[in-house]
Amino acid sequence: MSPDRKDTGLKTNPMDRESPRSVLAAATAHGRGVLAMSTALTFCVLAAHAPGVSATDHQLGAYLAGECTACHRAGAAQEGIPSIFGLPESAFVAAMEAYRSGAREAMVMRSVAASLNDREIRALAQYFGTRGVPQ
Amino acid sequence: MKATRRQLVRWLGRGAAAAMVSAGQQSPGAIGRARPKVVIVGGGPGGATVARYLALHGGQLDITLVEAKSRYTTCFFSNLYLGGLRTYDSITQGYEHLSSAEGVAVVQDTATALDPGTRRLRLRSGASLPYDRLVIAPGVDFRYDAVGGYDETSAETMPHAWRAGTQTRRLKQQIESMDDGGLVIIAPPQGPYRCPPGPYERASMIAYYLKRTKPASKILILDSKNSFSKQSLFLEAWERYYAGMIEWIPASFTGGVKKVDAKAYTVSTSDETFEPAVANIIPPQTAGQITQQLDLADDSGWCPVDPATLESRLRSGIHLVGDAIIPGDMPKSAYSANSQAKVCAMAVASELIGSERFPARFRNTCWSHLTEDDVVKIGADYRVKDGQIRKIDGFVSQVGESMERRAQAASEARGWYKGFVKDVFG
Repeated sequence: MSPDRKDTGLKTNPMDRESPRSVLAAATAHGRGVLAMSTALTFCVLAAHAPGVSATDHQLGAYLAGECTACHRAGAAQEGIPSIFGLPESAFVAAMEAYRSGAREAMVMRSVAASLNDREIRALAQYFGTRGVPQ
Repeated sequence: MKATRRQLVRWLGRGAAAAMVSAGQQSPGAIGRARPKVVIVGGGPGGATVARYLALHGGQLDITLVEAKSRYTTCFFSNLYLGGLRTYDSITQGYEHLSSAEGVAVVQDTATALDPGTRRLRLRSGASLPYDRLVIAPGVDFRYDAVGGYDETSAETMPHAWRAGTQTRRLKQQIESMDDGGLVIIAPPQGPYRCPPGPYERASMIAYYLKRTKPASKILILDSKNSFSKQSLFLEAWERYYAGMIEWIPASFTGGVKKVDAKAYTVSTSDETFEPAVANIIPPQTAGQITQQLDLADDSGWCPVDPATLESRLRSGIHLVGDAIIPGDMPKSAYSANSQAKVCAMAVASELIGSERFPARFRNTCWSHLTEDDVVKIGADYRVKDGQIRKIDGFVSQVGESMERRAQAASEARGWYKGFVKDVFG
């Protein structure tokens, strides 16, 4: 634990140290009990568009995803950059909310999350949730 | 006409259009006429990204990418090649995926002229390509009027290596063949230029190599500016890792390099002449030459665009992305070009096939290597405000950060390269 890091009270969270491990692993280790449960459920609907997501929201997700794929590659995680393709929607939303609130510290992701509103985060979560599986 | 076709596309509806696309790569544009044609000039991070993101529309567009080179060596990470941390091959990318898997016609040629009346782009080979929308992503060209005696010929022996390729290899050969105790001069230009922290990362990477192989050597940075990007981070690192090896001289002391003699291999400021072993003279820059030929650049030498669509403010129907544009608050970088390309592709697709358009958003992130495991980053988020690209929010690494954090940024940078070239070249 380096002295310059903000103490988030989440010392076991690998994402605090901008670790290359997957966002999913980080999200489920996040300590929100509901996440672990919803992860299993979300896998069941991965293949389909989430109910209530409009075509516009789907296209919004596709457009916004361009900002993610400048770093996050489809398929396998790269060194230093976790895979977000196929990430369950709830885990995606939880991760982005944690970055946005500052509960998780990561310079780039905090800036990205701060630039997105709730609808945009949901659109992205839905977009990535229906593409591929976590590695 | 245009409005009518867009209305037709909208009337057909996304459901119908999507069904047609998945059924047989047909498109709304195919009704009564050929698929709308987009020609993209320049296969760097800007142009290749436009091609890829237009190709995501499932064959509704006829996309041609015109690029003179058969393979593209990336400027980003070329300093790591100079430092011995990367091979040349590992920073060289091909167009095979774009042409085979994504349906983009990649033409190895050079654009020479335009016939806006018939909307055709003429190529050096004599061929001409019809287009409905033209995208120009030419990168930078070099101005040889700032440093006396420095021209395209002297650049062969005093390489700028600011467009990755043979000059990058030559610069590395020169550094490798110099004797221990030799002097390397780096002369950064005045802005705006491609990759603002690049000259200083280059000094760091050359020092990284020299420290291991020729520790008595010196690097002298004769700057044309009095400050530079990530300055406090670089100065801290040079003191920590390369004390006595790298010296940065701001313009206020020397005024920068005024003259070179490539034959005698000397570099002069207004009152001193040096005899370096290696001279890396980086000239001031301008938008790629084709923009002058096509009247897309203004008196500044750069291209004004509408940031919401990246369409030229000087000629309608032509879009520009990347280093060549006047980018508001954005720096000239591959990341910026890739970000602008996505907004451009959205605008072009919306115009030609009626796809959805959202407000433009831009982002830049840049990692700079101080050593193999000590990397700093800077980045920002941008939006369109009053017709300009304006910075909303940014971040930058801090002086005195933990080594753990710097090592994580190094790992992130390596991952970014893989992800980024996939996003650009497929």
